[in-house]
Amino acid sequence: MDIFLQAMGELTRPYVILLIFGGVSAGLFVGAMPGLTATMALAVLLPFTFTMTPLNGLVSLGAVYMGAIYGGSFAAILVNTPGTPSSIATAFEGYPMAKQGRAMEAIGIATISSAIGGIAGVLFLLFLAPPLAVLSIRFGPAEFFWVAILGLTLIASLSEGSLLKGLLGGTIGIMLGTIGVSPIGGESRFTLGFPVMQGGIEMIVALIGLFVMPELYNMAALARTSLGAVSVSSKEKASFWRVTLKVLSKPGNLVRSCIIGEIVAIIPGAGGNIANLVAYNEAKRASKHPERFGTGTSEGLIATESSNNVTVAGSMVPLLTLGIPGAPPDAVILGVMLLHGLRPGLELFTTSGVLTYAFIISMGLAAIAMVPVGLLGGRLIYRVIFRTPYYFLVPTIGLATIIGTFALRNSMTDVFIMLILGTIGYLLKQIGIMPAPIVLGLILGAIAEVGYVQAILGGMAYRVPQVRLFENPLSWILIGIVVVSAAWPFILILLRRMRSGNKKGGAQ
Amino acid sequence: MTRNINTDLVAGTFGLLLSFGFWWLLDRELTFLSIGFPRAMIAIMTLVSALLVIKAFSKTVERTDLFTVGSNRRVFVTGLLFFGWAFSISYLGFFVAGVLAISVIALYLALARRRVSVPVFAGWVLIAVLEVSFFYYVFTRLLHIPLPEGWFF
Repeated sequence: MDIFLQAMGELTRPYVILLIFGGVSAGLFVGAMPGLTATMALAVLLPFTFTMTPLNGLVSLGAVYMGAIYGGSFAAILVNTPGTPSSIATAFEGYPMAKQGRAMEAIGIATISSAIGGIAGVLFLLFLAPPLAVLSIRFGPAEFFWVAILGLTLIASLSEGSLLKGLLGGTIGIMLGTIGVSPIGGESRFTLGFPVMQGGIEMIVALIGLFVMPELYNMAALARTSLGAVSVSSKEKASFWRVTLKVLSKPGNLVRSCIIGEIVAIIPGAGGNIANLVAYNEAKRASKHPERFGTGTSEGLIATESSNNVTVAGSMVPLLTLGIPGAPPDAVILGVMLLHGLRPGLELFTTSGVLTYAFIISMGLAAIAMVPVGLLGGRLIYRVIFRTPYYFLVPTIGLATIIGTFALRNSMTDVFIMLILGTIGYLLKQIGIMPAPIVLGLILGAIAEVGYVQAILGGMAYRVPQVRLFENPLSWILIGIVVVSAAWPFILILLRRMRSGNKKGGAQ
Repeated sequence: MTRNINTDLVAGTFGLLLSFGFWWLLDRELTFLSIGFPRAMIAIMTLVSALLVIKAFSKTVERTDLFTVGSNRRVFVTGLLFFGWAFSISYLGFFVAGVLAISVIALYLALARRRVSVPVFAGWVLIAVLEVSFFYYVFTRLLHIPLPEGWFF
């Protein structure tokens, strides 16, 4: 308790509070820019922390991380472009809301949900770190494979009508992910002899191309923006208290999404990218009105935004206890810790307890700081985007996407890949193959491949190496969830038929 | 003009062609570690595409009006301008190419709704200069990311 109080005391210094607000603002700006990820924000800001004390450095990076994950929702809501991969599903509901003139309400919901998610992640980290860390090391290649397959079952809910077209989109994404050097074998595949293709298709390049370019083509076709004007009634609905009440009115959705976010976060290598999609899918499955998803429902937005911010502190569980980064940005934070002589493990919570707890609590404060920073920043960004004529908005977003894509790997090839994928994405959208399943395939295909091949390698001693995929109890649980998840649409149909049959029976 | 298309057939055919393309590009000399997963995925893609083609001839076929929203010519020209922008960056450099592309795209798209006088366009060029300068400054000075240089800078 003493350590905890001392940690709180460290955080009352004005300079630390300033760092938290500054970090959240910087993270929000980076996150809102398509192509600039939380990892990139932390990597860029890393040198600035060298001259800081360990606490100030960690507090700054934690605040930037929190702000960047939340900032991704701005671009997703206002221009249908997930600023970071953690806000892919935010675009599914946020953008339709913005088109209906409910952009401020969507930003408000995203802000409150992100803040709650951020605080929930901190609470998980404070109170459940040791048992969760034990669970995280039980995940081997086979479990990773099944987690990826579980993610791929989301295609059913992202398909918007045709499951077969969704599956085709998913396989296209998976195949795009196999271009380049194989992750385990180390051999080049599908590079057409071009050395530049050995690096493969960066997931964020595909994300920007597939989500942004079709929207820009759409604006060009219509010669207007798709954002709806905010009406007086929607302004009222966007007030802080009404939005907060709306978010809190469905606690089940909020709690479920936070738990999903935490479970995904502790799996090393996963993170907000997967958490937001899984939480969105589960929210849709649990909803009384799943048919409304995709048309601008607050439920989906709450699920995705709360879950992705849980992963910020949640992914620190394996990092602080075992030294395993739960998500790529955590690797940067691990670097800062090691630089200052802090080694993950029990010692971190005892000898360096004040510092560690102060860092953890500072992430909670960063989550709270997101509310004023986000609401003010959100209004400002909305006004700028809404008042900008479409003929300036199209090239300006184009500039942001080109520069963001280039900055990922300093590669013009990536820019061309982004434009080509975007153009193909626009054409595929016309025939009903949506960008979401393609991106999902690209993200999860790589995880599935590594898990599958490593599991097979591990099972070489068996007559049938594939047995390795079904060995562990944790795999069985995951397989069970996969089966239920894949069969859920059919179970729903069956349940509805049974209910309508019962009603008819009752009426007779 | 009506563009009512059997999208199941188009998607299925596209999927089959893509599967064939990937299968054809697959280097048979690779080890199982590199070839196993893509081979399985190509098989799944072929199956899904074939099912779509079969569905295209069933009663549940999906037909949609394609390219009926807005001006297709504007989409095509905007696409060309974006590709031209990316292509010119290597020659003109990020800054000059950016200012040129933003000005030209803004002018082209604006002409769909309004008339643009020379002084107004001059003002837009200035806005484009400010916009690109802002991004240039943030990336090169603050984030230390070198941007492509061309004939100018």
